[in-house]
Amino acid sequence: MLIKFNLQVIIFFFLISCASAPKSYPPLEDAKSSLTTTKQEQDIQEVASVTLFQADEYIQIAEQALQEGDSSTADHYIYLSIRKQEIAKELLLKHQYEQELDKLKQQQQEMIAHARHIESKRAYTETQTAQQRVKKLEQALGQYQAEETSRGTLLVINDLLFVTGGADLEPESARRLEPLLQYLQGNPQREIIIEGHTDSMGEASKNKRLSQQRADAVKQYLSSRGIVASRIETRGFGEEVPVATNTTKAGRRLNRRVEIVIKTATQNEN
Amino acid sequence: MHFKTINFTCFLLLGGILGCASTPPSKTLPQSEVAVSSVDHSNYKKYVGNDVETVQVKLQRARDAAANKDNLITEQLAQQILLDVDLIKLKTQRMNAEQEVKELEANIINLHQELQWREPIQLTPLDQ
Repeated sequence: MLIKFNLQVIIFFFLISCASAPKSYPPLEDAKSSLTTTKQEQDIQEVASVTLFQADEYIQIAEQALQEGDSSTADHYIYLSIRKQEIAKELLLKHQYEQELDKLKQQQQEMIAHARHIESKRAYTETQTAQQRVKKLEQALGQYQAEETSRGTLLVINDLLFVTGGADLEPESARRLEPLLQYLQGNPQREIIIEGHTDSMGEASKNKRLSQQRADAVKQYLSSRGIVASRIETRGFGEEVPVATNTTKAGRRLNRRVEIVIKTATQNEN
Repeated sequence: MHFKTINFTCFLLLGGILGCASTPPSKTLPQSEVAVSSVDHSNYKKYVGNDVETVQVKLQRARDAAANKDNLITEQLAQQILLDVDLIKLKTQRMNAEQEVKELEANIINLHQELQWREPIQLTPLDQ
């Protein structure tokens, strides 16, 4: 009787121990572990709480299936749970990239606006500077007798002094050419023609040669001050193009002149 | 005779119960067919071509299982395919966003350099 009772007790405890300690199933343990890790990721609950809840449910169904000894169904739900966890992670990553994208787009907009601001400021400054320069040059060139012609702006310089009978510039003539020099330095695209003229005193051929030499002397001076020689063309007309009578001293003074033609932009291109 | 009739009735009842308990044909398979065809596109193959191929193979396994009237396997595979396709789509969207971020970052670097060249001093607030 006692033996029979003991046997019953042993069988009972054996069954209890079997029921309370189910076999560990590594795929399920791995899925549970990865779910725990996934849930701990920052902001994931905010983005994928439903997906994680479903992943959890699949784990529970898999556990149930294992308790019923159906490992095939358990494997299926473990697979679904893992997929849901991966989907949750992708949702989080996508969310993070979209946030980053919004931030970068805003930054780009700010930079474009800033660039436009700089550009408009630069344009304004450049306009102001250009206007000031033009004004200054107009003032400077105003010292010459100027006239707009089809060839360009014609500047007449009557009081340019040369060594008597020669083509060398007197030192004080440099001061007289200073406004022209400044203009050419400020407008590097502009080209000029220097034309020399004399009165009718002396031989015509000698006058022509002298007028050419004087025009060349002006060119040489400007080149020595940094103006590229290719921008300057010279011509000597001698006594051929008078602007006043050669019978009076005053008239001859007017005829002895150097004319500067500032070519128009179109002429430069040609 | 009476005993045999009872046995036969029991057999019929048991068969009926078992028949009811077996898995019906998969309703998810048509959905998974549509889902797989939706990712059979260069947009998805560009980033996750292997995943697309894998899910196509799985769909074929589901079709084979359905042909063999293995309804449980068919339904399980179809359910898995739906989640596989969801993942493919999300991965692609994420990779597109990632690519867009990279391109925008490169644009911003270029813009930044251009602005520095123009007026370096005024860049300070944007650097913060």
